[in-house]
Amino acid sequence: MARSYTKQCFDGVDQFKADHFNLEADGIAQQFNGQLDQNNMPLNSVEHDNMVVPVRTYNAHGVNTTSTYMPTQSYHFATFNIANDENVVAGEMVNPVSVYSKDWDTDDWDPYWNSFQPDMPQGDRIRFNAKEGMLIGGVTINMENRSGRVRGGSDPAFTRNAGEFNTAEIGIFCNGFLVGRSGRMNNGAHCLDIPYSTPIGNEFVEIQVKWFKEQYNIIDASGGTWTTVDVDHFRKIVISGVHTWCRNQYR
Amino acid sequence: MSNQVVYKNQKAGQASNEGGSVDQFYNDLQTKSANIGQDNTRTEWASRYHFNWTSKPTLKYFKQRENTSGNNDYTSTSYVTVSHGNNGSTEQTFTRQEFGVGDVLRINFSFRTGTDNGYLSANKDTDYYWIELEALLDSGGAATWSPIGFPMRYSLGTHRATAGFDYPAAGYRMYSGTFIDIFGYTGGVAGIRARVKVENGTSGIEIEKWNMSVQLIGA
Repeated sequence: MARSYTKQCFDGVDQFKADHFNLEADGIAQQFNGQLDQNNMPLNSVEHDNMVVPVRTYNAHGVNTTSTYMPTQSYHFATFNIANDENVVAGEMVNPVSVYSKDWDTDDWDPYWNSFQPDMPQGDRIRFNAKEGMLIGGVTINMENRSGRVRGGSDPAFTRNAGEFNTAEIGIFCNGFLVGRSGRMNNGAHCLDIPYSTPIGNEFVEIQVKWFKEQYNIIDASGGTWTTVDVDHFRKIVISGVHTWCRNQYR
Repeated sequence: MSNQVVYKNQKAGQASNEGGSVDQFYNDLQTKSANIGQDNTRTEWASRYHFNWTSKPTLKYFKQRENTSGNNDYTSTSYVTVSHGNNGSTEQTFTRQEFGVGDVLRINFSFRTGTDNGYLSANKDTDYYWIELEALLDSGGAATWSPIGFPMRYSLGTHRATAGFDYPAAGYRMYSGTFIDIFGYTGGVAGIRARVKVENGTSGIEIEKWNMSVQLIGA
């Protein structure tokens, strides 16, 4: 409760001075003049119990996303993890049954971004509720493309490599918008670490990973397609691990 | 200062608050301060100076090590720790950092391959190598090395068929892998390491400079 007098003691015939009031009022009044900020909270006053405990959720939105919501940020991830080191068979490129593998001759294959769905159980997507701020994340992915071997056309005895210079690419989409991409990758088995970031509002978010790969057929001098395939690796894209994660830094 | 008390000359024999200016100031102050309590800090952020570090778990912990020179050929067909370099092994143990449910571990390993292709030409069909990241985790009991994420798979070449031409993938390629884990239990982390193995022991992978880092992020 404020007071309406000064603590100054007065004897008879003493004068009241403005300083008596001002001095005592200053301490309170200054709080209204810009000093009522961080310094108002005593140092070392925040204990662990005062902090909001992270809230961890799993599969809240159907795609096996693990999330943690913290006071100022949230993290989310999902993983497609196979035992990709256990099934290597000599002479076989990449065909343990547990990898994600597509062949443009026999599977659905679009000449643009291809979804991993419905054939990848998890890891290619994460879903969560974002708060206004930034999304900063990454996709770590084992992507493999190889050249093959064909025999053909007008000279069946002659074989050559196929798809030696094909390229493939990984794209990262946030609610349908491309926010990160690997750039075109040449043949080989590569584990890519692709970062992305984008502003975000208070909204539901789906991060989805997609792939793109060139198709390539060899035409010989006579115009005939080399249809005899000795090694079909060039027709495939193989994914043996996907780790999609995201950090939502609140504004 | 806009809120200074306005002093008025008063008449002899009158009370010190005669004229109302002082009362008015204090009353105004009381009105305006009615909604200011201890919980109103008027700030969005608390700095780390406000935390009583001795009484709470780590909010954020960062550990990093890098090799800025030197290289090594790894030829083991079972996992061995990436340990070469001028700053020690990727395997490093440190003071156990406690984490709780919902805390995040983020780990990154980046490295550069050398130019040594080993015996790739004779082993085109066995040209895989793997990098696996591990953390020394416990849930209150004994700590064990546990994989984080999945084994990162690479190849020494572009062509895996026995017949045909291959192009080496080695030669100063820069690779990186980042994984996070969100713990569902209370425990601790006391170490990190990166391990490597090759499919064919005669086709080793030459690893040059590398960087290994881990962050533990809490509330």
